[in-house]
Amino acid sequence: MADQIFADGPIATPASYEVPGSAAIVPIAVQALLNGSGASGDYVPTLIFRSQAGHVIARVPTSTTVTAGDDAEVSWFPHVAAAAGASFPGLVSGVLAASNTNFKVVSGVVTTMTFDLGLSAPGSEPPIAFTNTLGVLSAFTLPNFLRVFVELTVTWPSAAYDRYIEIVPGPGGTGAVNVPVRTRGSLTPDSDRQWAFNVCFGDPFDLPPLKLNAFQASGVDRLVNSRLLVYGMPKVLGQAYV
Amino acid sequence: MAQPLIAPMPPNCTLGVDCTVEVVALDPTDGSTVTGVTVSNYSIYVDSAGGSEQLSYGPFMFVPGPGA
Repeated sequence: MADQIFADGPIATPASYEVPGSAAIVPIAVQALLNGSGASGDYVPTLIFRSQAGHVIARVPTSTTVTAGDDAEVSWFPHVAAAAGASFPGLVSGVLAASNTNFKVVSGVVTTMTFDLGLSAPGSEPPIAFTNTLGVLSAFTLPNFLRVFVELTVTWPSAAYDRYIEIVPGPGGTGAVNVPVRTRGSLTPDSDRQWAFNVCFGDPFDLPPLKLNAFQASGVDRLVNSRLLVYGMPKVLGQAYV
Repeated sequence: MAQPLIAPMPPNCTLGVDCTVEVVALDPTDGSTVTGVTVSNYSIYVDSAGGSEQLSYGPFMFVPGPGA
């Protein structure tokens, strides 16, 4: 037999019901009216089950973000699919495409490459930010992203000489482990075109820089052409640096 | 008018004494708590196992089902 536990409210969030005494319950459905007239920002109504020790058993956000000031009447119950929402942050990527032409790499010097100002794809949200306003992209920051996919392709002048490109991420957020990825070779034509890919962790707060380096030891300066693609995945509720 | 939303929740999840059922408002960008949101008409429909008459807690009152 289903019973009901009810609070008229209003109760400030987090609105927590604790199973008292020696009872045990199996929730069948939960319903709540959230009043956001005093909300400090946009919010996602979320249901959380916690164990006796306070550990999270389940955390269930709605797929819709409620605008600050608005109310939401939320029903949680089993065996329903969350409504597909274009605003679900995990499905929205920031995309950046950039390139350079005849960028000079001095022999024997590890050089942080610069690029022409890239274009964020239409609808890219949030946008990927540049560290300068000069129309030149060098080390750039990754605000508002947790996971960032970086793809770099560099075309070298054809010859046999040692050369590499590398994607060097910043430190990332707390708990993140970011490591450089390098592609190196000296053969021609195999190494005339080099490709590197890295998955980095950004941080919505620390804005870690990302550097794209090139090196060659041919004894003379070399001019390269490069293309850069960056995909940023915003942080999803509950997502960690894994 | 409140925006109607539905969301899934785990089925058959037994919560014993001192377990909690929380409704919170989280920031969509970092998961932190958004302040200033209140909850009213907060209903939890449950199958209760023993001691159901003692399920009242704080502002929450127990509403027995039919035949109770």
